[in-house]
Amino acid sequence: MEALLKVGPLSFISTRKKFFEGLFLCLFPGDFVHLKGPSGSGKTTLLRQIVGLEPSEAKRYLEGKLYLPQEIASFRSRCLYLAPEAPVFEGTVEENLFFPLRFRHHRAKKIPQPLEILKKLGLRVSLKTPASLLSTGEKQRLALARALLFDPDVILADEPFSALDQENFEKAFMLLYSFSQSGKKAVLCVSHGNLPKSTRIFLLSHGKLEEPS
Amino acid sequence: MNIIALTPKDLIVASSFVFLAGGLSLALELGITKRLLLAALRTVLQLSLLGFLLKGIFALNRPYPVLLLLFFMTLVAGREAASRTKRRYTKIILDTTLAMGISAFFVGAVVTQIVIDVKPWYHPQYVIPLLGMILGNALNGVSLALDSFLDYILSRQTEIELYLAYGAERLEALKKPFQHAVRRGLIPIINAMSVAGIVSLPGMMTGQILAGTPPLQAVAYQILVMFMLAGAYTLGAVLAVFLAGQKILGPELRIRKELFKT
Repeated sequence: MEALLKVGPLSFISTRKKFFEGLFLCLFPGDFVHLKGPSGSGKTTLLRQIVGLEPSEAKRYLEGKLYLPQEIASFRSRCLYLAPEAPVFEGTVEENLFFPLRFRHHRAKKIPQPLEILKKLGLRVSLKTPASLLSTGEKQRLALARALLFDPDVILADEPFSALDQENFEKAFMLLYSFSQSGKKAVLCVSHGNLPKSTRIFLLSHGKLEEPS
Repeated sequence: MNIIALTPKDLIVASSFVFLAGGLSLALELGITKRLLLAALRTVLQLSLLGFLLKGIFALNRPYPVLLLLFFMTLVAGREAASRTKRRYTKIILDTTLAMGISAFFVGAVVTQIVIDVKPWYHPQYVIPLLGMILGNALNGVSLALDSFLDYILSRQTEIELYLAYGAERLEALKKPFQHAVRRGLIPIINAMSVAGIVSLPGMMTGQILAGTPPLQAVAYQILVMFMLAGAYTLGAVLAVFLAGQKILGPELRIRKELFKT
């Protein structure tokens, strides 16, 4: 089977420490991979390097197609990075959900009604609510809902559940999990806690990315 | 024309104002007496130097000295604009100087060659003061716009990265900081145009009237200058943030924080 996403080599060496060097990451269609590793092992940097928000020498392939550095925006629209802060900007929930429609790479997309997905996430807010009024957990679910609405090929989620209670955590996880099973999709998810379902696991520690058997 | 010439003696009398300010500063323990006197001294020296330089260039009446002086003024203005921003990135001075040079060249060319149509084209009496005003004001627009641009990007990094993560191209990701910055850069000239002639008599017009120009001619020149400065502000601000945006996001469209390490 052809890899959906292939990125590497990824190296992160700061002046005081070598975090990792020469890593290659491969995700196949249908993968839901739980990325684990001790704090400070460089998981966030790894994810940010994959989408080019941090510098690296990595080559990026989606479905075997190489994306050159000048095509990074197009790559990012297909391989979506979900930042841990779940940032929102000034404006309503609706504006925060739909802003990517202004971008060239999303303009032609048909985005489904958001209410259903918000309900599945247990997020009961009006679309006109100012996003700044949301709690951290609500912002996280908003960010997840947006990612799912824009239907990328790959979602790289950095601690997407950290501020959710058990009930909402399970709902959000199940949505993200079923996304990974819905055709040619894959998810790489950083999470400190255990996930409700057993999934593939990558362990980043001591500069190595391993899949414990 | 009825110009009343100023003599050195007149200026010595006028300097008593500076000494008055210095005396007050001493009495109130403001701690700026030295800086005040030094600044006053610099005014005298710098302006005298400029006076002699202009006198020489006017007398030569050749294009090269004029161009050389303009070039030098642009370099100084670029440097000054870069030093006025709170945050700086590597080689910011290249961008400020380029922004300043292009906007001054363009606005200056239109004003001197098309609007006023000076003969010969380098007529120093017109070209130098006009370009000086353009540079001085573009400098303001450039540094204000750049300052708020850099501040926006660095203080709302997560927001910009959110746009980038969703596949925004450069201008899409930077649209808000661009708008914010250029708006900020234009405020002074908009304010100046709104109150011109009501709250303040613009300096240049005052100067022309003192030098004997008929008021309506002085007004016409002042209007020209205001419009010209509006152009210089806008062009300078837009160019500066555009160049900064190229530099900061780089070809890989990420916020290059390493550029901000001093």
